[in-house]
Amino acid sequence: MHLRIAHLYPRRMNIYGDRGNILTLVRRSRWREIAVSVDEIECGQRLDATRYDLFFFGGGQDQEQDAVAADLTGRLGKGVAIKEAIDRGAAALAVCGGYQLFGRYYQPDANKRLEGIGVFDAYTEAGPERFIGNVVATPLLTGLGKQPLVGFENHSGLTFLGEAVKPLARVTRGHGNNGRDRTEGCVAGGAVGTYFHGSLLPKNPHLADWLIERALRRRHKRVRLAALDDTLEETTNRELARRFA
Amino acid sequence: MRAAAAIGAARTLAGISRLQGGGATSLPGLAGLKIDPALIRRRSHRLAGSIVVTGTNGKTTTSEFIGNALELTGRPVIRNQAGSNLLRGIASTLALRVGRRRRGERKPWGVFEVDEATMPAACRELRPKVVVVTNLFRDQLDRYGELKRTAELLRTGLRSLPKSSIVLLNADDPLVAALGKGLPQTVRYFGIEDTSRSKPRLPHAADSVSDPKTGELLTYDAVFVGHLGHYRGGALRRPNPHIRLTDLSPVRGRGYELTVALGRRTVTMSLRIPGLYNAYNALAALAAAEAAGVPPAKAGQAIAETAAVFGRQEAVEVEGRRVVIGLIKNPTGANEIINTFAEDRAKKRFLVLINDNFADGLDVSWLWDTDFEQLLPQAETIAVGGTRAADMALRLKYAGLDPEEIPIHDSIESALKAELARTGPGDTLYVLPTYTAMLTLRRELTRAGHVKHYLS
Repeated sequence: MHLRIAHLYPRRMNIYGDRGNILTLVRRSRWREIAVSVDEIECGQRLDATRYDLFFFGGGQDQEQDAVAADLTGRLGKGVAIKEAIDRGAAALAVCGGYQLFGRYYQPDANKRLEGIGVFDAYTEAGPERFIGNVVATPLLTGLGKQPLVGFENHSGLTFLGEAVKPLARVTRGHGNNGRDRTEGCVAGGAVGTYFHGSLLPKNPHLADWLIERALRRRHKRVRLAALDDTLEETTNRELARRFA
Repeated sequence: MRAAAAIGAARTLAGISRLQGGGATSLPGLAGLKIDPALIRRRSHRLAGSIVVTGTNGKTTTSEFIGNALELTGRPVIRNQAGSNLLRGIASTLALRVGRRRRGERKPWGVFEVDEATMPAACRELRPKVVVVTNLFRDQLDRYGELKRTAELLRTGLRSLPKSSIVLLNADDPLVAALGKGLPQTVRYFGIEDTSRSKPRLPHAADSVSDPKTGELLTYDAVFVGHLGHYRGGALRRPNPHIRLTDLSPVRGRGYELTVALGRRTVTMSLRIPGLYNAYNALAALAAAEAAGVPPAKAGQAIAETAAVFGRQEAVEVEGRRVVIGLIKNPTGANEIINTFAEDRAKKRFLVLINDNFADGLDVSWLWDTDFEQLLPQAETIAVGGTRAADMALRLKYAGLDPEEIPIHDSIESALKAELARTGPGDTLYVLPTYTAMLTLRRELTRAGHVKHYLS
């Protein structure tokens, strides 16, 4: 088996340790003897989205997000191609700024509006304060089990979900999508959007494996991931959930 | 009346705190400012002038260099204690260290390292003669929001300066260099010209790689530290530096020999601290000392004589073993420390201490941007401790280390004890602590009589 990952805009959207997410996907696949390749896609580069099983899209600073939004909706048609690939079964993880651009739009202030690519039926507006801090949330995604998700949020955009998507989790500590409805993140098919940094996947191995499995299913009928020794991951997850609760 | 009461309160508090063995770095200033909000402004009139050093990395080392250069040429200096770089720390220093001058005594210079978020207020209150901006890296974004906002804060501070102030900026940092545009004050840039030690591409931890105005990605012809280097792209040009490092020759295990051109003058000096980032600190200090009237040759001598300061790679003897401490707080700084350790190829024992208290930054995501992979080939063992020891252990597991081989310690005290016991006589333990972990570590070493109290 072979897992093909497209890392979207790593030079611009690389803030807050999202590299740890790629590292986790790669390691957890290789430990199971699944081959992995990661292609880095930058602004101005062509993208053959049909090649990939999984898209990863990290967070970035405002200005970088502007440039990336323009590239996604620009003449290369990358945004449309990515959405199509996900509709046809590719998995995705979009964090923070990437999550916002996977929605319908992001309105950071009164003047400008960044068009998203619409993978998620969700939109984001500027909020009055910045949500910064540790987050603990109970997964709502089927197949993830009861083990909480732990991470760190740092965003001023407020994201609201539409009817066509489900929240990833319900926050028990922290703000989540908008600080109002206690939802955190969002799921549409194999695509997961979230505000969790931390990095997210190393200490939430259940979500990492969910993504790997979803991604492999695009081209393989029978996918059963071998169990790994996750003692350290699970201890870390439990310890943090207890500390932040 | 109010001014005198404020100073009295600050001094009394400092006295009590010292009796109890505390560091007395911020409480007296906090109390003093409560009573007299203009304390800093009032007291700063008794100084010959202030030099403010701000930026993400290198504040403490650069300030130490500048202070020592002034002192070497007979100018008295007061400085805030390392890490105590908010207004209260500055107020403490001014309340406790500036008194009545005896006849014939010269007014002291104030050398202050200032936190980026505090910089505008510090400029307003101190009206410094010289301001140095070392660099802007991703650091504690959980506190300040984003890097561009930090740059905006600094811009506000610089705009408020008197016209006669001198602003010293890092030419090799695109965000910092852009601060100099349109300033009415004298602006001088410092930068590295010798590209022999440069890297071909940006590291993972690099930030601010696009033109802040147009958003265009920058192209680098040379990369020195993080995103510092020779860049071009968009509307950005690296300014021609006035203070130029024209030759950088490493001396095995002992730092570098530097040749620096300041305008038409040239100074050669040795820098006894390894790490390319320290070359930037030396350039910044030469520039600041020159702006304060210190001849560059003298400043170079002072820098050469300065030992690594306060936890930034200091070595302590403990029961026949050496403990080398390298403070880490963000990916770029941590990468440089790790690279510096790698210059000695021998296998080493490491202890990485990660806390997530407010002063460390609550967000430990940066551990994943740091190339801890580079520790593995030079490590005999890597142990972890601190409030986020588990996160650090995970980081090492995903760097390729077997988790069964990572000792995880509950407390910093027990970590130090256990890892020292593992270190043989004559051997070295390399400790990489975050800021508050370093304070605990130093307290432990002080208690055992190995480190002098840092206010004494």
